[in-house]
Amino acid sequence: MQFIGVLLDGIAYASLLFIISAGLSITMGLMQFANLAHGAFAMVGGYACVYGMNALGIPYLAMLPLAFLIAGVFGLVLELALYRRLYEASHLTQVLFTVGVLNVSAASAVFLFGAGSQPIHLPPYLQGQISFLDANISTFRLFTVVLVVAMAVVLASIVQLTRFGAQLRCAVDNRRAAIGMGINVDRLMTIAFTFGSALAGLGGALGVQLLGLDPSFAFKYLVYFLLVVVVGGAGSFVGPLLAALIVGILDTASRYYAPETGSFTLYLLMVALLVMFPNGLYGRAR
Amino acid sequence: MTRRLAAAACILAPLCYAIALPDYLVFGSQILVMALLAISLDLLVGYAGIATLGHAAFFGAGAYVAGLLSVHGWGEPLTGVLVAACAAGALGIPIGLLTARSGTLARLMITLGIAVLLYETANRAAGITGGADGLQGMEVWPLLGVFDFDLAGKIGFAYAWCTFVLGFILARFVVKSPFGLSLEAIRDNPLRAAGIGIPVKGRLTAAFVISAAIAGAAGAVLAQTTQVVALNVLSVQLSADVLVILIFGGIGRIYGGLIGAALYMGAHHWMSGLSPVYWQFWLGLVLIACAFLAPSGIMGLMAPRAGGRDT
Amino acid sequence: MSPTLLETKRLSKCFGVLRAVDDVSITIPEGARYALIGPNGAGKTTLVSMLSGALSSTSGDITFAGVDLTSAPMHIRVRHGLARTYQITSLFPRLTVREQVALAVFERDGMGWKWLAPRNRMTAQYEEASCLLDLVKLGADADLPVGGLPYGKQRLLEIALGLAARPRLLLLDEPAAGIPSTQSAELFEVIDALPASTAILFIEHDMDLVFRFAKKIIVLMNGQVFMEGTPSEIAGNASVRQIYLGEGGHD
Repeated sequence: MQFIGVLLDGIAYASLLFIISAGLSITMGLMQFANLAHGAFAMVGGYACVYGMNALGIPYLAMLPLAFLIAGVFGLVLELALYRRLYEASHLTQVLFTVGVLNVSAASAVFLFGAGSQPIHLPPYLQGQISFLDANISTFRLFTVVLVVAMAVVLASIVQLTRFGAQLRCAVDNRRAAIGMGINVDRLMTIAFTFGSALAGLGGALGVQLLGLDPSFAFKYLVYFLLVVVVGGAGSFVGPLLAALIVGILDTASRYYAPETGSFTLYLLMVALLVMFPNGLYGRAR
Repeated sequence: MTRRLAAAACILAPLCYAIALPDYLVFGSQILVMALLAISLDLLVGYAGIATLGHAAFFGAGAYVAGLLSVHGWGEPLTGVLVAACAAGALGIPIGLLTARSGTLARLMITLGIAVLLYETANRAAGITGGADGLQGMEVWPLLGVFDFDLAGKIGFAYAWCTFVLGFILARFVVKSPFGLSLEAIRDNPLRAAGIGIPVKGRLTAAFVISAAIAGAAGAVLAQTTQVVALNVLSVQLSADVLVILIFGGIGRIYGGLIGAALYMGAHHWMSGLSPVYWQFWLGLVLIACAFLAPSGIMGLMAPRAGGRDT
Repeated sequence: MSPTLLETKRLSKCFGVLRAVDDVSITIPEGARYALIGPNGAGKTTLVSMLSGALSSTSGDITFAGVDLTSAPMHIRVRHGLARTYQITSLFPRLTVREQVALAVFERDGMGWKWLAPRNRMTAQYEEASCLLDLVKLGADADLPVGGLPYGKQRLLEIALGLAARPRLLLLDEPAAGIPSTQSAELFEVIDALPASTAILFIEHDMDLVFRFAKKIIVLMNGQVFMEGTPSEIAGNASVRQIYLGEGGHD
């Protein structure tokens, strides 16, 4: 495997980690909510995508925005019905609750779609490879990276340019002051949670090919999503982006070049980073 | 007085179990091991206020140390448990030092990361640990040179019960000591704790060492009674399970561990028999319900505690 | 003149470009009753935090009873006899009143590491805790959890907690903050009645209390010591009256 190919694989993997974790970073930064169940929303997107394509014959490119929407609706309903009641609860209660959500979602996936891993048939124009600098690059990986970069640009514009984004940044910085200024933080949180879940759903749909999809998905990648957010620094986008790149490229590279070490290097780096930057690379001291 | 009765009930309840269900002694030993593990976790989570997702690291370290000792020719169980507890306790020192100043989320992640590191190490070092196949070929000598570990698990159960009782009493002593009080103070207000002369970092590290040693002993007992060490003694799943057991039973009340372990493992055993998916689904629903209805555990429903103490 | 207990030399603390505490050199003798006053933002709490070890100093030295404590962590300073209370009540809500005072006594006696000895057998420490609570008139509340205590009583408990370390110097950061003025006089009576072996440096805004209870006053302004003197010297100083006390100055 060429170095450049490994690099692109890593970046594609990192893009998925980032798009799934971005919403988690905002909700964790805003409410310090220990949400271990964020991967469940990615799973909703993934299953919606596979089901829509295989059972209903909806084309892939139409399924991506649908997965975004469906996961967003799931997020909205759960936020309004359950999550918001626990924002003031202890971290342990939040862990208990979100582990519960993880279990229910995994079991539901088995009931509805079976225990096996889900196949996805990409449209022909996304299969195949492109030659670039002596390396063969998979079209789909390139598509993933481009799509995520576009989404990241949209996200950054929303956060930097809109009124909503300004309120969000303000509330992440200092929630009390934001409430004092008349910002409706609860509504902000609902919107951020919904949007974050939708993004995770899109990531899950995109990730069926590269990450795989089975009922244990949310458990399997839980550590990765948390890793990206906590190492990057909850509440920011740049931090998780950087952390996603580190995790994605390092994990891919170690799989190609030193498969016998497994994820060892990755976790070692994570522990080291967390000890050095307890609030994350881009986090604020709290 | 009621506290003493509760403690006595905790110590005696396993014996009633043994009389009532003599065919399920192996399962009973496993409940006792998990209960001891939950009690050790309670010292950290309930008393010192340290949230951790990596408690399996200590349990697994103890299990592997005891397992490796007996594979390599030293099958004496009591010294095996002692060495395992010391090794796990020693592992508590760096983890305690590394996490003493972190916030809750960073602590969860660092402990999780270290546990996963150990899991990967054990997985890759298959030559020593047996890797994913588990550590086979343990030869455990008779207990006290007399009682051979039998297939029905009678001796194993008695052994697990003794370890549980010792660990339970030790944890109660710790909780009722001045040291235990200082842990509660750190949990409530670490900055102020330093302000009345408590060396916070040192105390938290010591709490890690004590908790890790008890967890290591629990792991060693599991290894010796089952005569095999599976890789999942180090898994994230186990760390999460024991945290759930503790929260079920009630944090900060020492005997919560036993109640939580009995309920959790009993329900697991029964429902997994029907279908593993049922178990996962209902467990999830119960966890969600618990978070809303009984955040201080099943026991919290019956006896709301005042002041969070056990005196 | 009593021997010097605490001495700071050119103590400074910078937050970015702001010099919150700027070149402060003060000495406090044994058994002192000193007040630290100054307008809001003068650096009073910052100085007390630096003395207690909650904040590190940017430059300068702190010597306490002949020992250099400039970079010692908080718990070491407490062990040397330098304790403080907080402006914003900071206690252990889930412990009982007696228990947290006993805790401070355990730590002072070096028993905090005893991890297998039952603490309910340590009657001497619990009795001392009860005595301290009687001293601050909290004897009747000893077995209540702190979380439910009225605010004024929590302020008294702050002082008992500070005293439990048997400090040679107790730093009181606005001990009467947030309680009605009738009660604050009572609180200062309690403070005034403390044994002479405990020196006291207190921050207080109520000038009547300051002039009544302080033997000496340090005026802090923009992070620097503006003036230091007896209450009559301070009250008689025209610039202090003008800048700090204003029209309603003490006569």
